[in-house]
Amino acid sequence: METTTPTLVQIVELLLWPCWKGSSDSYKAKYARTIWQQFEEKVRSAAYTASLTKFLESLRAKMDIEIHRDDLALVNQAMQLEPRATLSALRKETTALVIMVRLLNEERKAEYQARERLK
Amino acid sequence: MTVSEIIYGAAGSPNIGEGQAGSCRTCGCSGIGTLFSKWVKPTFTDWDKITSGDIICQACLFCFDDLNPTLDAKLDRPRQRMRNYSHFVVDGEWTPLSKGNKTRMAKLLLSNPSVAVIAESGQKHILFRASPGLWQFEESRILPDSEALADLAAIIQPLYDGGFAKSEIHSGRYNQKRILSFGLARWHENERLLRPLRGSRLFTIALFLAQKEAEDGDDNPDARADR
Repeated sequence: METTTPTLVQIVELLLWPCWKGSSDSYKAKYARTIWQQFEEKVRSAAYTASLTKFLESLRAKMDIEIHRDDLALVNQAMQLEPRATLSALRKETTALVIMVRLLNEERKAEYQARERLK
Repeated sequence: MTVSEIIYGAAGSPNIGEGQAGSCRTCGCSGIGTLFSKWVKPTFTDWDKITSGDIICQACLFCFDDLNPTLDAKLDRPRQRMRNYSHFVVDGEWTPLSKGNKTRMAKLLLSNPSVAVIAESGQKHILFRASPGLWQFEESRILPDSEALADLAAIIQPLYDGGFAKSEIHSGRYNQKRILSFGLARWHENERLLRPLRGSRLFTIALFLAQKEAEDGDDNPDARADR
């Protein structure tokens, strides 16, 4: 199967964002103060492997992640990314990647709050 | 010439020691000074760095001195220790600087100094380990590269001014909140440039020299006069 060298945006949109959305709410609530730092550390440590499937398995176990049904296609697409480059970016650019997820989350939160105000 | 001799000469070669002729055990030069056996203390540990000889010459005595009246006069402060200061000689002028004067240190480093010895801990005698024309940073000797240092400073200083701690810049592990307030794209670009240089000696010096304007505590009258 053909693989593609990813950009940071692709890694976020196809892989980390679905993982973040799928991580359990109770876990996020339990570690609310340090959750982003934890996410960064767990992504980095999970990335020390040779395959994207193993990365995903490891991160799912570490953060109690259940990928949403709507996001399965994205994650499947992520599994087609070039593994060496993707895992290398996940190790070396972890902080930037996690902050990109964090910013997406802020956006989603702002949209939600705006919708709530309109109700 | 040795670094000790250059500094001693630039300080006006004050007459110190006991006038004993011989070969200096720290710099290896012939001269006059004090018998090494009389000068050395039981706490001296640098036995691996000394050479054969019988005295410690006036220049080395001056540089090792923990009660140096010439340094006291230069700094206008009593009981100053040579090892607590970083020392520079540019165009024959000796400038001892405390850690609070990093901005001035950076300027002197970029002025082609004949002596550039930077004390990080202030606890070790490093002057006698230094070589003229090379930069001595604590125990490391570095080939001068003003351009590379200026380039590194141009990356590191904005990060430090932007609120990142030196430990973060040193390790590459940053606090996410600080990145968010600094700006992700700006931080990422600086970090991309910095990453391949992390761990080099020049990187260590450039990081040491980073200083916020408010921290530039010029407790040195020479530095004050320069402002």
